[in-house]
Amino acid sequence: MRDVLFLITSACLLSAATFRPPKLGYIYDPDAAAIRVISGVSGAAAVEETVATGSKLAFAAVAPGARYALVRLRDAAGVSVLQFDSGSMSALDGASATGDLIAFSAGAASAAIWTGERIQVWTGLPESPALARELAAEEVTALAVADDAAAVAASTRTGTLLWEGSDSARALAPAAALVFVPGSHDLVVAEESGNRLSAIRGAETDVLATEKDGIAGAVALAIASDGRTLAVANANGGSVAVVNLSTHEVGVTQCDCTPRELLALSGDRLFALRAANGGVRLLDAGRGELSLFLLSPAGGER
Amino acid sequence: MKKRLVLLALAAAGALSAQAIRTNAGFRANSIPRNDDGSGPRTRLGFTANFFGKFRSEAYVNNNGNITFDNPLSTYTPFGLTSTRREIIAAFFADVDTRGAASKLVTYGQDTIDGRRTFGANYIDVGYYASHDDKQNRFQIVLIDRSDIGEGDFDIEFNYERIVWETGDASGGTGGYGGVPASAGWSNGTGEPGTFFELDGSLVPGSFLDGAPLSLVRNRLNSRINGRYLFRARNGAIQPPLGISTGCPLPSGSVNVPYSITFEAVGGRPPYRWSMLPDPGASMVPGLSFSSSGRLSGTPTRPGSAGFTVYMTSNTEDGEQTVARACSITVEPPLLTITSACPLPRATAGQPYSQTLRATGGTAPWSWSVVDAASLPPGLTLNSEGTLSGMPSAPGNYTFVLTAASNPADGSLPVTRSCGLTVAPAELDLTSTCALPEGTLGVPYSRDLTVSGGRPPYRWSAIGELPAGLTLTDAGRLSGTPSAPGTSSFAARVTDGAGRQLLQSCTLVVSAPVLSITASCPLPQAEAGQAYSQTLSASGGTGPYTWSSLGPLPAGLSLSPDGVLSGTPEGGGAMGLRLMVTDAENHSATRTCALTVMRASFGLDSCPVPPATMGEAYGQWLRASGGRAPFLYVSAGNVPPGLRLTTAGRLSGTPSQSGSFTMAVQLTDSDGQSTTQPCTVRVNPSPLVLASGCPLPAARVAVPYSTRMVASGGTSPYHFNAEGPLPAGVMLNGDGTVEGTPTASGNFEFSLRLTDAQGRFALLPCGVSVALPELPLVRIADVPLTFSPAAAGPRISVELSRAYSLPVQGRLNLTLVADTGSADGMVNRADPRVRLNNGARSIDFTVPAGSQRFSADVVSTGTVAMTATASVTELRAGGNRVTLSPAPRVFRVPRSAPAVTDACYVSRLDGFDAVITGYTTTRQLNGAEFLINAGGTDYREKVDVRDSAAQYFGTDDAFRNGGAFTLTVPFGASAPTPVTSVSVTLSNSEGAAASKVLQRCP
Repeated sequence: MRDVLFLITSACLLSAATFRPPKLGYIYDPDAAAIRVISGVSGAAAVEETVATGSKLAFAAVAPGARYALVRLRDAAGVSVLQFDSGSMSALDGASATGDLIAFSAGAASAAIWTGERIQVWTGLPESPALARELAAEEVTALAVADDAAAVAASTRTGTLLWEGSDSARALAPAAALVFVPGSHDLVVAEESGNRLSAIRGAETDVLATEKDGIAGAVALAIASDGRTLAVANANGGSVAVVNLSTHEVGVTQCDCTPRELLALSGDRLFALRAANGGVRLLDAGRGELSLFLLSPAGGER
Repeated sequence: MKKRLVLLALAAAGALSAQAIRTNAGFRANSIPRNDDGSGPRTRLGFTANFFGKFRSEAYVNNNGNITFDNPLSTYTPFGLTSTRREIIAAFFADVDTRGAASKLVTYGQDTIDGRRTFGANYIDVGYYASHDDKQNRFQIVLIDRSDIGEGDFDIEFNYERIVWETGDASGGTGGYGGVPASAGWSNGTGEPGTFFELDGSLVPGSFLDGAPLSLVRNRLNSRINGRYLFRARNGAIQPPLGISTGCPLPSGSVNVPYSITFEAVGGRPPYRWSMLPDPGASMVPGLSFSSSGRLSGTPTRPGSAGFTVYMTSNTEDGEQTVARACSITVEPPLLTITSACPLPRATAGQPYSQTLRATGGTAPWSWSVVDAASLPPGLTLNSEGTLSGMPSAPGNYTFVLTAASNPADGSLPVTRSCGLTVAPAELDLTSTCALPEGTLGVPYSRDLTVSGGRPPYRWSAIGELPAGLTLTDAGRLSGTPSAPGTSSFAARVTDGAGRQLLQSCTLVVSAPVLSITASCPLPQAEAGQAYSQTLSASGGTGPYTWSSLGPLPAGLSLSPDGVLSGTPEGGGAMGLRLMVTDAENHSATRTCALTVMRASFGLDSCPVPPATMGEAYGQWLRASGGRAPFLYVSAGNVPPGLRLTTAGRLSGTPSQSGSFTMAVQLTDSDGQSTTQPCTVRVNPSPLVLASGCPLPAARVAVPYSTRMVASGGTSPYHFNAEGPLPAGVMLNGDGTVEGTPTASGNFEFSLRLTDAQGRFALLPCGVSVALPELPLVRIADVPLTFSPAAAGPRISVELSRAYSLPVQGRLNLTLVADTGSADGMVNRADPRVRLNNGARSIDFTVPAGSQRFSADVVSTGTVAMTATASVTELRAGGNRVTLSPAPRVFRVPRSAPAVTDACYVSRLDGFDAVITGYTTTRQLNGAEFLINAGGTDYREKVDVRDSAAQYFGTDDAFRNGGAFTLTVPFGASAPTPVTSVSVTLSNSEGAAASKVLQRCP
């Protein structure tokens, strides 16, 4: 615990211990046009009640770590920041009202919003948001932003653009999904075929895994807060792969579904996996064995 | 330009034993790190290569045995090079994997050969996927600048020294063999002819391996060094290697048909010199010869096949080279064809006919015959030379089958052909007669004149005066009613369809009518004592007529001169009346007519008698009238079977046959007067009944059913019809057959309408019961007895002991009983997270017909100790409720010590909050013990959480999360000392959890 900032000579209990229901994170429910709580613990979790926003949502993207979400209300223009702990919602002034392709940095302090014509890069989230830069890009299909917001990657129909510091982009091959490794400008790319994962570090490209390892039509990537656990949603394989970015070890588990979306939750190497039919599963890469749990749907039997 | 060449290592070409792989140091200047499916960066060739019009000075060296110009290529399962869209030069396109320890790396770089700039990629001792290094291949790609010949010209070399594996594991290979093996060649990715090439043996397992006939190491192309394959790119195109492009085997020839084919060469430079050697033990087909210009020609004289090898020698950039190609030709026997047009030219009956048949193919003369000589027109014959001749005698259309045969020595088979021939009728003379019968004045006359020969249609006309009242139609009918007596002469003219005419003299005599008595004889009966009147009639002669009788008349009757026979006859009997009529010219005619005078009316007056019924007793008296009683009744025949008639007139008995019977009854009265009269009695059939009985035999759902109802009574055949519901899937046919496959169980009542051949019907109540097929046993499959908390629950399966012919449905229920050990009802509650995969605790299921299982998953075991019971209710088979009760299955989540799933801390200026997330299956906690190491000293802090936990687990918020919780414990600091670590241990009634070190909260 070297990073503990305070000093004590003898610990003393300040007040009584308090209990509350455990919360793993939040997930946007497009059917309910609302954000729902994922409560419980791994192996016994459920999608529960919706978070009050005062109005139905047109779109929401929950940031990694589950502290906040960027939302668009159906009856209001613009993008707002919804902070879960306080329940406060504040407008993200200048953010596009039409954006529904949003990428967060792994630490969630930065976000990239594609407006349809350009990419807005925001920093200081969620408390002190600031528009850091705007980058021209059309027909974006996948987006990623680094923790320091200095590196941004966007996949378009013609190729992937990678901005590192300057406004001029480096051209790469088209990608199906993108994510930056926490605290770095290392970009993980799922190739357009979805069958090959590569890490781009400067001029070097390192193949992380291929279809031989179980990568099969990757459509979404997410990195856990540990910075080394990469989850891959395999749309073609009906499976989820987890890649250890340090050792390149790959584990695959079948989900009996068509994975579509991945979200890093607040727990230890936990991810929410949304399937094409809307079902949500909890991927626990922190157990000894890669585990997928179907989350009981909201409104189930008590 | 897909060429699959057989590359022959001809001794005459002088193969060298030099090393194929070049050892230039520059080719090892760069390397691709150990990898699988990787590529080197875009790298410069050192010169510019014109690759099909694109001038390339850079390329990618790919790990998998190929060089690409457009983009790197990571594909590991080789594709065919004849249809790819990639720009590729591949010496050995396969799943090279250099990660194995013994595998060498792929290297590449620039150098020179014979002073020419060169780029080489070495695949020396490389392994295969996945990281296998037990076998290692040695091959090389070399690109050599030949701008000394032309701008952009270059050579491509594939060099091989060891090929001992061909496939990676991911391409279906095992141990380096099989699956989709390597391909080799090049393509510019357009697919246009001449822009791609693939070595023979590509993608064929075993082909390229050392020792195989197509082994890359033992063969060569455009080179004298085994294992070296040279392709020359000149002016943007790669010259094809020297070869023979004519396809083999050659097109077939035929005996006696001139044949010619010239072999084509590719590559090299003209002139080409050709030779041919028959296969050992074989000889060329007689009649064919091979020239040094590569032409095989002549006229085959015998059928058969011949194998041979064609050799071609030409000058190339590497000097004179010879290639060979194994080939063969087949000469088919001649094909005979009957060429005469069919049908044959028309013949005419009675006219001489001759036609010579024609054929082609084979060897003349042909031998002709007809399959069935009787099928030829009578009078015609076919000789063996093919002449059909004679004098046909019968008109008609004839069809016959001709056969032509060639000389058997030429191997040909006889040919047949069906042919037709029409024999037209002969042209006939026009002949006619005009023999007319005599006509009678005032009597309608009609006569058709006739003609023979000639050609229809015929048209008639009269020349001269016809008898008054008569006309002659165009069709030759002379008709009308003569209006004047006398003899008439006239000419009848007939004109046929060909315009020919015939005149025929005719005479017709019309005579006056002859006087005669035309009254019908015998005269109508008279009855004694009853008035009688009958007017006689005559014809001919000249009126008025005068009537008289030449003999006696019955007493009481008289004949007036005007022909009325009248009066009241007095006695009975029959007599002949001799009548005479005289006309105004005193001509007379006589005729004898019979007249019967009946006595007074006497006979049966009770007929027809009332109907009888077949099989039922019957009795009826006949009655007579007229005459004098007593009467005597005698049956004269046709009494219904089973009945008899007494002399007293009693008809009785039990009829044994239905129908309508007309008896003949002879009736005699006391005066001896006798008459025989008909008397009809109808015997009705017996009543319609269902002899086979009802209800019908029982049926089973989904089991084919068939039974037949049998009727009796009435008159067969019978027709059956159901009024009311039959079981679904079952139908009643009109013949009484009930068949089908019932789809639902139950008792089905219906009315059967039974109709006989006479249209009589009976409505009969009937029914059939349908039972379910024998049910299989239904059970819930075993599940383990205990499960850990916070885990995926068991899969619960409802199983049938065997597949069933109907769907089996029901409801699978999961019942939970909490087992926390707490007496508090708010605490001792099961975890609501324990649900089936539909989100509920029960799920309706269907085991489809033919299947045996339904399964549902318990999505979580929850976080509360409990006993779960899986049971099945509302079981139905094919929609019918059944009484089976599968035994429930029970599993438990036992109580256990608390579990900490996440433990972290949140720093504050004045201390920190310990945040512990976990669950306790007892839904209670005793305490939390923290071990804090600060400044090398351990501080143990015990926190009693019993009350706060009890309060928490009694709330509805907590209930929704079962035994899960997040516990926050705030700590403060009294004096600064560095903290090294904090760990926590939780305890409940079952014990303490393992210690967990706190991390910083995200």
